[in-house]
Amino acid sequence: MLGNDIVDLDKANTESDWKRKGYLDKLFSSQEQQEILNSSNPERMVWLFWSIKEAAYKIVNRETQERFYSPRKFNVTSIGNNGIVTFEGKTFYTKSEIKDNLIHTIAAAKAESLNHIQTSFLTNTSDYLSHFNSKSEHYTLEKDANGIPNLVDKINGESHFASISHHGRYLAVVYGVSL
Amino acid sequence: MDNDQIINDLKEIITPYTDHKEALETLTENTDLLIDLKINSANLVDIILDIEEKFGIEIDNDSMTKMINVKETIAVIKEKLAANAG
Repeated sequence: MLGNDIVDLDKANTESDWKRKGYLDKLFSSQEQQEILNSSNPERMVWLFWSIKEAAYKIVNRETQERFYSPRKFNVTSIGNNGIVTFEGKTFYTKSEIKDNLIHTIAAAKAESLNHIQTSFLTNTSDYLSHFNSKSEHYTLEKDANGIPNLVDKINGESHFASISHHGRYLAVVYGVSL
Repeated sequence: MDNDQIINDLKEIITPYTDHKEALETLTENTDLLIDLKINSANLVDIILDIEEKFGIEIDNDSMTKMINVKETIAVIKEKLAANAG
């Protein structure tokens, strides 16, 4: 099981005022807030913590088939390449990268799975599925009736977990064929 | 405060956070904020803070959990308004 989240920093910084009264309180624990405010780039830290929570939410959402909005139930205890986030007693492992004004986080239920996750960055357009598939030799990216994405092997028809996220200019498809 | 009044206020609050003006114009109790209006999940906080200010209520984390569609949002607003009045 895997999840991912992408943040277009330009879009996030224009559309959300994280300094607004009450904003951080709704999303982050006091410990998370302290870490954000003490960092040299608080703005970037807001979106890093946020992307970790969102990537883990994608896994929970897929497992439970339930949609909900509880950012504070996800507790980020470690960030960066060895990120850890917990939710109702479950632990998820994450890895985040920051580049070209974007933050991207992948999440998995097992730490070793992170090494097997592949990421494709695409431009966020409405026809990204056909765009991805025209470039992919071995796999077809498909969405089932519930909008859940899967990567299907063109030869043996085997289906693999995939996760899609998009924001602003960016779109990321992550998949793990050996998971 | 009835549902129509709350829906009118909600439309006003949501306007800056969606590009899908048609779905906003035709907003009903069945509208989903994330699916139909394509509101970014980071902007949901802004909407919840705006609702708190507009209606003079405080929305706790448990109530926030369900506020991804108009129906649940109206229910939370009414519940908090009633608690204030009581």
